[in-house]
Amino acid sequence: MVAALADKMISLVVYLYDLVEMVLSAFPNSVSAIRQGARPVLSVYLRQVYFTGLEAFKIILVTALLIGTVVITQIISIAGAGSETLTGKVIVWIVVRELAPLLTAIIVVARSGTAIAAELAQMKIAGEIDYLESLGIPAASYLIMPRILGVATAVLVLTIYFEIAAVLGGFLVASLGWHVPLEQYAQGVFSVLTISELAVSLAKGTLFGLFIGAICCRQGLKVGRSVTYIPQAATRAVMQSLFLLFIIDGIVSLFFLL
Amino acid sequence: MEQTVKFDKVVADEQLQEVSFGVPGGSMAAALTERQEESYLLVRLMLGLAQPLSGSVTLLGEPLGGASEKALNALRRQVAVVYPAGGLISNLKVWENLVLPLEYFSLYPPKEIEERGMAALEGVGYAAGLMELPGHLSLYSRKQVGLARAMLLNPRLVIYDEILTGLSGDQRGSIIEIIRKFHRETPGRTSLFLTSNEDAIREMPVEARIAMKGSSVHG
Repeated sequence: MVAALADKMISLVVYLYDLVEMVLSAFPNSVSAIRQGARPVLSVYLRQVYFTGLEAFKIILVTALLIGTVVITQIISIAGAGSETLTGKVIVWIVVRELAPLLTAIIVVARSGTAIAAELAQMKIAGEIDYLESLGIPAASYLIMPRILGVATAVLVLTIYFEIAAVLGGFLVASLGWHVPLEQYAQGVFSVLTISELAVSLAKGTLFGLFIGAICCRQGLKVGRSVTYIPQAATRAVMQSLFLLFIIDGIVSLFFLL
Repeated sequence: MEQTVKFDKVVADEQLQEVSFGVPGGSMAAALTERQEESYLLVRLMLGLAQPLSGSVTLLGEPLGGASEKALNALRRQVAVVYPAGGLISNLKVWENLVLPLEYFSLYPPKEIEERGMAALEGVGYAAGLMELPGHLSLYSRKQVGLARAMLLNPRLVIYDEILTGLSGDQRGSIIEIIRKFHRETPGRTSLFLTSNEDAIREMPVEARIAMKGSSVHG
C-alpha cells in the first residue's frame, strides 16, 4: 500500500518534472528555430494563436460579460445600495485576481486543449512525426514549441480581454440596474488595481497557457499506434490540464500573498 | 566502394533477426522485405528513428549508435525518403509540404524556393492544386509531391519505400522514369528501393539487389 502510494508520488513528480522541462525547453528551441528559419515555425505559432486566441474571443467576451454581471449582482445584493466603491474593488479582487485567468484557461483547455492533443495524436498514429524527423526537423522545435508558446500567448491576451470585458460589463449592469455612477465605480476599481494585482493575473495566464500547451502536446505525442487512443489522449489532456491549473493557481496566489 | 548504408547483425522488434547487408554508394539498389511494416522499420533504423536491440547501423559512413540528436538530424538532412503515401503532413497544404524543409533550414531565399518548388512539381508532372490538403489528393499525386520534395533536398541517399505500390501501369512507368533521371543527375547519389512486392522489384531500374542475411527479411 505504502509502496504503491510512493510509486504514484514518484511518477507524479517525474511527470511534473517532464512538463517543466518541456516548457523550459520551448524557449531555447524557439531561439534555435528562429536562427535556422523562422517561417514555418512562425506559421505554426500564428496558426495556434489564431485557433486558440482569435477564435475563442467571442466566447471569452460573452463569458466575461456574464461573469461581470453575476459578480456585480451578488455584491450589490449582499452589500446593498450605496456600496458603489466596494463593487469596483470586489470585481478587481474576484475577476482580475482569480476568475479571469482561471476561466480563460478552462475555456482554452476545453476548446484547444482537446484539439491539440487529438491533432498530435493523429499525426503520431499516421507516422507524420517520423516523416518530419526523417527530414531532420525535430518535432520539439517544429510541433511542440510553437504550440506551447502559441497557447501561452493566446491565454495571456484572452485573460486581458476577459478582465476588461468583465469590469466594463459589471459597470454596465451596475449603472443600468442600480444607477452606480462611473466615477465611484472607477474609483473602487483603480484603488485596488495595482501593478501587483495585474502581475499576478498575467503570471497566472502565462503559466496556465504554457502548461496547457505542454500537457496537451505531451498527451498527444504519447499515444500508441491505434486510433482508439486519440479520444483517450484528448480526455487525459483535459483532465490533467484542469488538475494542474488549480495547482498552479494555488501556488501563484500563495506566492504573491507571501 | 564505400557503403552508404550498412546493417551489421541488427536485431529489432522481433521482425528483424540478425539482419546484415550493405548498400553500395552510388548504386540503384533494391531490397525485398516480407511485409510493408518491415520496410518501414528498416527506414526508421536507417535514420536512427528506431534503435536496434543489438547490432549496428551505419549511415553515410557514420555509426548511428550513440550519435547525438543533433548529429542524427544533420545526417537525416542528407537523406530523402519517399514514403508509401508520399510522407506528407496532413495539416499542411501541398505547397507547404513541398517547401517545408527548404524553408525550415533556410536553404535558399524565398524567391528561389518558389522557383525550385515549382520546377520540382513540374518535373514530376504534378497536376493537382498547390493549396490542396494531402487528404484530398490521389495516392499518385501524394507520391509525386513526396518525390518532388525529395528531389528538392538534393540528397546523397534516396530511400523509396514501396514507391510503386498502389499505382497503375502508366503511373509506375512515369515514376520510374523520373527516378532514373533524378538518380543520374548527381554522380555518387545512392537510390535504395524497399518493397515487399517481388514483382515490383522487376520493374525497378535497379543495378544491385541487396541480399539481407537474417531470419525475417529476405533478399
